[in-house]
Amino acid sequence: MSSIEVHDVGLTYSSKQWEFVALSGVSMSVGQGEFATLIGPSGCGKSTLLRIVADLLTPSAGSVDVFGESPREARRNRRFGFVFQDPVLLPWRSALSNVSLPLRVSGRSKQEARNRAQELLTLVGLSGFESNLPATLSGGMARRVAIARALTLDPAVLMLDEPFNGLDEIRRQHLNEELQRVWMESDSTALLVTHDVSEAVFLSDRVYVMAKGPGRIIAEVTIDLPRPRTRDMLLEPNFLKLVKDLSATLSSAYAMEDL
Amino acid sequence: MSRVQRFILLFFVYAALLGAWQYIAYINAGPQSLVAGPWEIAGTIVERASGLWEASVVTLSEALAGLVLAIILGLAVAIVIDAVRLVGPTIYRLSVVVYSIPIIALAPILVLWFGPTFTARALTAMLASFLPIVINVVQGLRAAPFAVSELGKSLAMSRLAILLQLRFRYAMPAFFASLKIAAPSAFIAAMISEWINAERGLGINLLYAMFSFNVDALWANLIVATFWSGLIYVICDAIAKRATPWHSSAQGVS
Repeated sequence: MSSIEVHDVGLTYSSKQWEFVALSGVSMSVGQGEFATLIGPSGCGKSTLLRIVADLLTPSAGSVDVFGESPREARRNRRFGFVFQDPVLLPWRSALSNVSLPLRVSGRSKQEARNRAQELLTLVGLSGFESNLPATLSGGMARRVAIARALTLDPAVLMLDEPFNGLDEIRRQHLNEELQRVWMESDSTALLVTHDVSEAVFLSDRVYVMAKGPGRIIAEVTIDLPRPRTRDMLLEPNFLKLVKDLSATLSSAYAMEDL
Repeated sequence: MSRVQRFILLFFVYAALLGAWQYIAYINAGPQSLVAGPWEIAGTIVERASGLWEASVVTLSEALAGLVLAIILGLAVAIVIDAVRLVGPTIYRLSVVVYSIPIIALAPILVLWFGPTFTARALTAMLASFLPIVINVVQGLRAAPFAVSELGKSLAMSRLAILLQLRFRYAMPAFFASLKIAAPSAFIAAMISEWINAERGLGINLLYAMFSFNVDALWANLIVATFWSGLIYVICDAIAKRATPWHSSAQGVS
């Protein structure tokens, strides 16, 4: 099956005294090569869902299929490239050897790893910064390195957990364009977690809107805009209409106590 | 302040301190004096250089052996505490209990077990210095960002590989910081251990000097012991800065 199939997934944390339903009855289907986004209020379980697909968490109900493999098999076969909320670059490794880490971990030769990492750093516009330690990179550059690292193994699924968290609007937009570009050059399916409506519309083919209490998917929105999308499109009526509609759907996901 | 100015300032501060010390020794001078001035101490150190050097070698080797054992034990215990959640807290508490036994009480027990040997002294030094390593490394491992573990997991690394190859690197600055505490502790414990079970060494020399009321020798031993203890600290600090140049501790003053 050429898709990521999430079927009726639930995750409940419980002890003798309490029970917390993080996710309940979540189903989605993301086709190969698609860019799908999970959007929703804080605490709706969107990051949790991402982690279930990537086998960083195990669901208590339901099933997940990642292009014909279980999440565990997919993870063991290194099908996922992860970009976390913080870039989490290893501070003792240079930009280049941070990017080559996944190849080194999977046992490839130093030379091969270096070449591939070099290629990726160039792709994300960071040639010339190979030997920089993470501490000497700006926030935006560190995130480019994190994206390059996630792409090193040509992952089947590119996992993006609020990758540009904490950057200002302009840098964010710039990096979103970069992200779109490098993703389009890859064969990866992308799964993004965000709470930014405009970002979701800009990047996605398909957006799942989530609500909390318990975490669930309340709507699926298709974004049918041509690619590559540019910053000029941000002000076009059809883009703005999609943003407006998605905002309205998202607003309904917020419970009264959130507002 | 420029480097030169700072150097000159420090020079005068130390000169003033030594001068004051020499003055106190001078006004107390006499056969009953308990204060030896820096000049007399320096004279004694030169005079007894070969004896002090021999004693230093003995004590330093005990301390070093103890420190190496403490590093091995400390790292092993820290890794077990981190990796084996079931017994971790118990081992942690047990380590604290062992460390809380006063050295002066522990040393005789080790002598009973191992005789008045080098082993007993090295083990005393080990027990006096392993806990700072355990605590710091455990804290350091916990300070590694959780996402690093997730990154490792997503790359199909084993838990042990994540611990040793990723998280342990985050604990390195804490590990080296702990050496700065552990190394002088090991040295002091080696000296204390000599009080009850040695014939040679800086610790036992101190005791001999005290009983024979040789004030100059007492002070000379004290200064030499302090010098080694300080030198060990400086060496550990230098190693720390070289080993973790990416860490902020390598840039600032420490």
